[in-house]
Amino acid sequence: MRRISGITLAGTVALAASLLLAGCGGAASGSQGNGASASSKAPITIGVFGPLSGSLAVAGQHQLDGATYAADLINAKGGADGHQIRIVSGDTQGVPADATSVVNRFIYQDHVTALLGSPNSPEVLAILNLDKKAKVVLLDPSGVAMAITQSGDPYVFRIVATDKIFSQKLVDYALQTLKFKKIAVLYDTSDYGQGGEQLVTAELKAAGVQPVTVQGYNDNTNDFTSQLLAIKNAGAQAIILWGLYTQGAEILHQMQTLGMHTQVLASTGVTIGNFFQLAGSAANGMIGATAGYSPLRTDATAQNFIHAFQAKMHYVPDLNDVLAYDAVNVLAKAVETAHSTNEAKIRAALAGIQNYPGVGGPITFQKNGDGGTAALLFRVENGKEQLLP
Amino acid sequence: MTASSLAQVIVAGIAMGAIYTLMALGFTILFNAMGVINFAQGDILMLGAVFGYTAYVQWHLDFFLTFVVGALGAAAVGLLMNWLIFRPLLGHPPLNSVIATIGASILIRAVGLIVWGSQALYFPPVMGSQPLNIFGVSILPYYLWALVIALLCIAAMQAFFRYTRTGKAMRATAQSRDAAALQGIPVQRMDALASAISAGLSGIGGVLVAPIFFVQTSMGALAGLKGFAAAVFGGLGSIPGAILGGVGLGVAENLSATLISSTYRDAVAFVILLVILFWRPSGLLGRSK
Repeated sequence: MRRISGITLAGTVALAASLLLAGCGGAASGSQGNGASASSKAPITIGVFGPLSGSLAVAGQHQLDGATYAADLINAKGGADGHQIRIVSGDTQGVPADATSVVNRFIYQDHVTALLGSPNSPEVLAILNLDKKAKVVLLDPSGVAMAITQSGDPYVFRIVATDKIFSQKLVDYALQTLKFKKIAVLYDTSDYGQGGEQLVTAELKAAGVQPVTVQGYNDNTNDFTSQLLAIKNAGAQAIILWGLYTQGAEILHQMQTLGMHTQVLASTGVTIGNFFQLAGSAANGMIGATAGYSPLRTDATAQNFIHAFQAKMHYVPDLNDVLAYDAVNVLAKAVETAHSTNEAKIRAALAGIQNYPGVGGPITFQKNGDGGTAALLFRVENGKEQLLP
Repeated sequence: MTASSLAQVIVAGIAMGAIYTLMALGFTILFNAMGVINFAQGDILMLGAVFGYTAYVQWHLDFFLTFVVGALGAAAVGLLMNWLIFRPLLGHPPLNSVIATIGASILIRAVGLIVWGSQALYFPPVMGSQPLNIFGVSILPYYLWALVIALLCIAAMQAFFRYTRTGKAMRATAQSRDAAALQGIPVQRMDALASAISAGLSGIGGVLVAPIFFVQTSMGALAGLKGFAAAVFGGLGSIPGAILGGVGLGVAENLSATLISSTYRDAVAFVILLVILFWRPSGLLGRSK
C-alpha cells in the first residue's frame, strides 16, 4: 500500500477542519454595535434559528430580516433598558436535527438570552427539551403546531395566532355575519386537518349548531366527488374546509365541475403556496383566514410599518417579517419591565404581557404561552384577496 | 342519496377506473412478457403527465401532439428500463427485478423533482370548464373525451393481441419463451416491444389525467399502487381481467366513499381487494393454478 505523504495528510486534515467549521454554519449578523458604544450595559444576544437554505429558505430569511430590523430600531433608540440587542443566526436547512445543533451552539457557546424560531414547527418541537433544560426563553414567532404550547415548557412564548383563533373566527363569520345554519366540515385526515376539524366542530357545538355532515379525505386523494356530493345532498349552505393548498385548489375546481356554489370558508393552510395560481377563477367568492398581518391592511399601524420597513429592506414585509419583529419587541418590552437580564425574571415579565400592540395584532400571553389573538378574514374576488372588515 | 348523485359517483368512478385500467394493462403486458412487475409504472404515469405539461403549457403544442409527446416519451423510458433492468435481470430471481424497479421509481421521482419542482402544476382545462348536464349528471366534456380515448386504447390493445402477427407473437412468447424462440420469434424484440407498450400506456394515462387533476411529481405513487391493485383484482396476466379490475376498483372505491365513509375510502377499496383475493386467490379472471 502506498504511503500517504505528510502534505496530503495535512491538507486533508485542514480540509476536514474547514468543512467542520463551515458545517457549524451561521454567523453573527447585523445589528451589533450600531451606536452601541454609548451603553455600558452588556448586550443581550438573541439566537435566531430557521431554514436559510432549502425549500423553506424564504420563510427563514424573512424571519431573520424581521428580527434584525427590530433589533436595529431598538438599538438606535438606546437599546432595551439600556442593553443593545445582538442577533446571531443559524441555518437549520429545515431539518429538525440541524435545529438542535444550532440551538446547542446558541445556548452553550453564544450564551444567548433568548431563542427565536422557527417558521418550521418540527424544528421548534425538536428543540423544546433543550430549551426547557437550559431555561432559556424561546420565542416562537410563526411555528403553528398546537403541540408546541402543549409541551409544558414554561419558557415558550408564541406570537402567531393558532388554529383555535382561526376556527373561532371562521365559525363566527359563517354563523353571525353570513347567518348560515347548515354548515358542512371538510377536512384532510392529517394531524393538521384533523386538529382543525375538532376545533371547528367544538366551536359549532358551542354555538348550538350541529354540522350537517363532516367529511374527511386522505392527503393523497384527488377525486373529491363523493365528499362534495354528500355535502350537496346534506343541503349545506357553507363548507368549512381545513386542509392544504394543492387539494384545496382541486376541491374548488371539482365544485365548479359539479356546479356547486356552496360558500367555502377555508383554513390558513388552503390559501398558501401556489394556491391562487392553481385555483384560478375557481377561488372567486371563497373566504379565507390569515394571521393578523397582511400587506393588504390599510390601517395606519400596518402602513407605517410597511413604509419604514420597505425603505430599509427594499421589499414589502410578509407575515414572517412581522411576527419576528413583534417577537423581538415583546422581548425588549419584557427586559424593560423586568429591569434585568435574568432568565427567570424575563420569563415572568413575558408571562405578564397583556394586550401588547404588535404590528400583527394584540399579544396577550396565556398560561401555555400562546400570545397571538388576531386573525383576519378575506374574500377572493377576481383572483385577489380583499380583506373583510 | 338521490339517483342522480349515485349516477354522478359511478360516472366519476368509471373515469378514474379507465385510468387504472391503462395502468393495469401496463402491469399485465410486462408481466406476461417477462414475469416482471414494474413498480415504477406509477412514476412513468407521472412522466407522461409532466411531459404532457411541458408540451402543452410550455411549448404550446396542440393536445393531439401532447399525447404523442407523452406516450412516446414514456415509451422511451420503458425501452431504457428494458435495456438497463429487465433484460440483464432476466432469469434471475424475481426479487432482484422488483428491487431494481423500486430503485428506478425513486430515481424517476427524484429527476422529476429536480426538473419540474415539488409544487403542483396547473394544467389548463382542455375543452373548457363549463360542465355538461346529462340526466342530472354534471360532467366536463373533457371527461367523456378522456374516457373515449382510454377505451380506444384498450380496444386497440385487444385487437393488437388478437389479430396482428406481432401481437400473436407476443402472446406466444408469453406462453413459452423457448418454444417461441424455436419458432423463429425474435424474443428479445418482443421484450422491448412489451416494455415500450407497457410504459406508453401509462404515459397516455398520465396525459389523460393531467387536465383533470394537477400535475405533480408525487402523483405516481398512488396511481401505481391502484393500477397494481386493479391488475391483481382482475387476475394478473389477464387483459380482460385488467379492464374489469380497473373499472371495478374505480367504481367500488367511489361507491364505498359515498355509501360507507369518505375518510376510509382507500382502506375500503383495499379491503374489497383482500376479500376478493381470499375468495379467488388468482383474481377475478385469473387462471387458477
